[in-house]
Amino acid sequence: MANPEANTATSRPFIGVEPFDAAYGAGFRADEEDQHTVECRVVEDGGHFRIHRPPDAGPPARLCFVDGVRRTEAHLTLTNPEGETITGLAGAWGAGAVLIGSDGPAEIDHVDIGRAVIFSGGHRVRLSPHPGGWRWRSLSVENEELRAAPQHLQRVMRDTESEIANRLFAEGWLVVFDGPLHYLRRSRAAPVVGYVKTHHRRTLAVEHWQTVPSLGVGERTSLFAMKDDRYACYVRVGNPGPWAGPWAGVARLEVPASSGRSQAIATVDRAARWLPTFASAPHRDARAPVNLAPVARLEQHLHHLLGDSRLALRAVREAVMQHNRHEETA
Amino acid sequence: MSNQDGQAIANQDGKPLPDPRIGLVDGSHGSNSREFHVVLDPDASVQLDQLVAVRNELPDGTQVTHYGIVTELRSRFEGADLPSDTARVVDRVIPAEHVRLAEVRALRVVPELFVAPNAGSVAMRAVGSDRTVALFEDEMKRGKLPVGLDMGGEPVYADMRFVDGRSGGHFSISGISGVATKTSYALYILYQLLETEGGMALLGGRAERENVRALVFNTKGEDLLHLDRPNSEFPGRPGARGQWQALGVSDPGPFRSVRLYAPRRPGVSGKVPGVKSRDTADVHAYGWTPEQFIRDQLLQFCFTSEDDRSTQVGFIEQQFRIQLLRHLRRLEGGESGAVVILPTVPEDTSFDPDRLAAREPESVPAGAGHVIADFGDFVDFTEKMANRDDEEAIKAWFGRTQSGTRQAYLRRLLRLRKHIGPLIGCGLKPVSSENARLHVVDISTLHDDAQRFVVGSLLDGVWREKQGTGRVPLRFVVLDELNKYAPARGYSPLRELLVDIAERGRSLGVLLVGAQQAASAVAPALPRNASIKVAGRLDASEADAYRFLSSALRERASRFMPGTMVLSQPIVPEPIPLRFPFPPYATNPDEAEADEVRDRERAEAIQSNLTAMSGPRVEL
Repeated sequence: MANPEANTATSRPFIGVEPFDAAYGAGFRADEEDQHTVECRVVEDGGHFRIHRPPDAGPPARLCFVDGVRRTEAHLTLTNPEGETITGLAGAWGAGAVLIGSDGPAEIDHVDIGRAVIFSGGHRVRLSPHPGGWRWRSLSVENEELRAAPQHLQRVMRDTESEIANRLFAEGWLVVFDGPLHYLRRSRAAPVVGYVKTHHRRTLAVEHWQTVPSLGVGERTSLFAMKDDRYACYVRVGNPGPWAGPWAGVARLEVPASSGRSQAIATVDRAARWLPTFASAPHRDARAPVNLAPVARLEQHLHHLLGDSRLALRAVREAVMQHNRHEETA
Repeated sequence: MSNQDGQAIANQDGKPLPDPRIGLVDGSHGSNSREFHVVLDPDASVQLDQLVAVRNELPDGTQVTHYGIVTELRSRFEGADLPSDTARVVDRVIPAEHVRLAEVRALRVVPELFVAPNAGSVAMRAVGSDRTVALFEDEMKRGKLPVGLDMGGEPVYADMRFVDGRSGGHFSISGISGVATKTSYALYILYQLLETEGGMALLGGRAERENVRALVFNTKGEDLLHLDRPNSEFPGRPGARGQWQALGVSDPGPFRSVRLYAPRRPGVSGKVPGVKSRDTADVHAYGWTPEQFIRDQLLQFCFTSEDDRSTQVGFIEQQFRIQLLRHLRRLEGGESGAVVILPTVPEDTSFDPDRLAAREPESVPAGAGHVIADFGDFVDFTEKMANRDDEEAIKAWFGRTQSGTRQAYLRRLLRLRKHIGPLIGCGLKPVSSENARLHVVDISTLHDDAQRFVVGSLLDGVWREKQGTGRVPLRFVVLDELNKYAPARGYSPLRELLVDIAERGRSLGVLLVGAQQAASAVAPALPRNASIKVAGRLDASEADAYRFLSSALRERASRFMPGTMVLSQPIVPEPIPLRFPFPPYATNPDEAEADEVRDRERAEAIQSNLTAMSGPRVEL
């Protein structure tokens, strides 16, 4: 069933406005000439690319959303007696889950907040805890690139998310993981959905790719195989408005291939019916509708739990000064 | 669980109370020394007006306890930024936390340090000795009067020093007629003071107790003429007895020491009180003899209505009143109070009204001058004087006033003849303060002018009597519709008398329990001088006039149900909402329990009279 409101290809040119706030960049970034463009194989409906309207799955139950946030709180340098300077950072991350149980309100749970000093080039610096609850793990990354420390912070956050997701699979929740699935390395057989909001590249043959925007809310495309470990499909979670481009409101769902095709179909069917419920509204989210409301609220909560960034910076400065004094006396 | 003295907390029955912890002092809003917020625990059940205690240790080690009262409660979803988020939270789309906040206004800090409670401190229900301290009961060392029950059913006390005139006095009760239960509350206070052991003990020694008096004016129906009878609806209120017990009254019943007064029946020259719902034998007719009318200078209270104050009429009244005193003689051979006004008196007769009034008049025969036996005679005399051709006499009696002014004065007196007439006559007895503690004076059937005359005359009597005697024994005066007697603006002898009582009465032991619909309509000195201010349901448009209430409480008071009041007293910085129990005494004829024994006796008496009159039955 095609979406009559979807602004698909017509005989006349159509200009669409991206629903994302400009600061977030465009949601649709697929470039026809991109060298990363792949044309994935359709693995459902006998290789024909179709649009499915999954059966009603009832109200969402035992569904959870897992996401994380991170923040660089101070950029650091480490200068050794030889005059060599190595870069690092002090940063914080948080991850957690929103649980939509069988009844009762949506809850934020499994929250994990951490703070670390990360140096590149294999260096480790230990800062003493600072009054007010400031304490840092000491981490290092072998790479000496400038990006190495921030990337490591991202990795730590993703690891934390994965751990939370793993715990929740084990408890039998359907886990919606905010972001592509390749970050999740374990529990591939569990019911997990990677939720991708931004379309960086074309993933299907052009004729299939062009039919994706005709999805209605709550509908999904046929499954296709991404690499050999994931199945994926597109869903429409909301209609942003008549001004929007054709891909606005469309997200990609990824499920692990190892769970088997029928399990994958069951999972995306449920997700396609449930997720539109959680689509956000443009007046309250700069990335509506694809940025899901529980995820937005979780991110807000996690940012809040990271604490005041100015206080964090002050604590780092004081801890570093204490560290330097200690080094001098030693 | 223990209170500040380390004792286990228990209620009056000795049963342990539920966990007193209600939550934590909010750290997201700042707290200050006057106000703080408590984030309530999920299982805490808290209502407005509950008392809260927060204990802290200052950096120097001092232990400080903040006591406060819950003035507002709030509830919201934390994490919901927009109104529409509410439905999303309920529909389980957005996670949010339900938070409940209690706004607490500080009542007291012990020791008296001006500090704010620390954010994150545990807030407890103030029960047991904490409650006593929170409400300053420990400071009420000279006795405490139970003034009602708080919303949790616990007694609230007023410092007796502010009730009996030692440090303050006067009650001011405000609220809309019909729902504010102003009169009922005034009676409740009188009952506590005059009819309970605890109340009597607060009044002092034996002499003070026996001689305390209360004067109550009945302004509506014959409602208060039944206070000495049990309330038939009282047994049907199962909670009421328990409430009285909580207030220290083990055996609530009718007022026992009561005398009732009503004006004599109109159109009847005798002394039969004009009452319908009571036996005339139970009620005393009251009035003044012509001699009392003149010697007590009651003429001034005849001219108290709005239009009397702006003209020269008051001046004539003053002049005329003094001349009456100068020319006053008793009618020979009569003890009934009739007087003779001589046409002339010696030149050297004083003009000092107080000295003249104190003098016992000589007796003269009726022919010596103009005889006055009732108010009609008095008006006739005035008319005669006003129409005399003798310039000198006119000047002496009416001052240098125009003839038009004299006519105006006369017209007013003529109008008053009908209203005040029944109150002045030979053989009438004024309201005495003897034989009972509570004196109820019915003025409900009187015209406004006559009501003001009675109130003015009686108050003036009480006031004069107390001038020389000091504070004790106390005199309580309950007066509803104060705005009628002491309006916010203007001048009248009655208004000045009430203002004087408000300002000086507490040291002379004359204590006003005044009630009014709106405090703004009353002479400002009255509510201002009242130590204890009480409000029932307030008119929302009037609420501005009640500065002693916080704006939230003013707004709340405009929705109070009958029986809910809020009381402010000097030592407790926040007003405390309270309720008072259903009365065990009848407050209107319908509530009065039929007195069966007496009814039967009367019926038998009538029956036997009829039998006696009809004579022996004749067999036909």
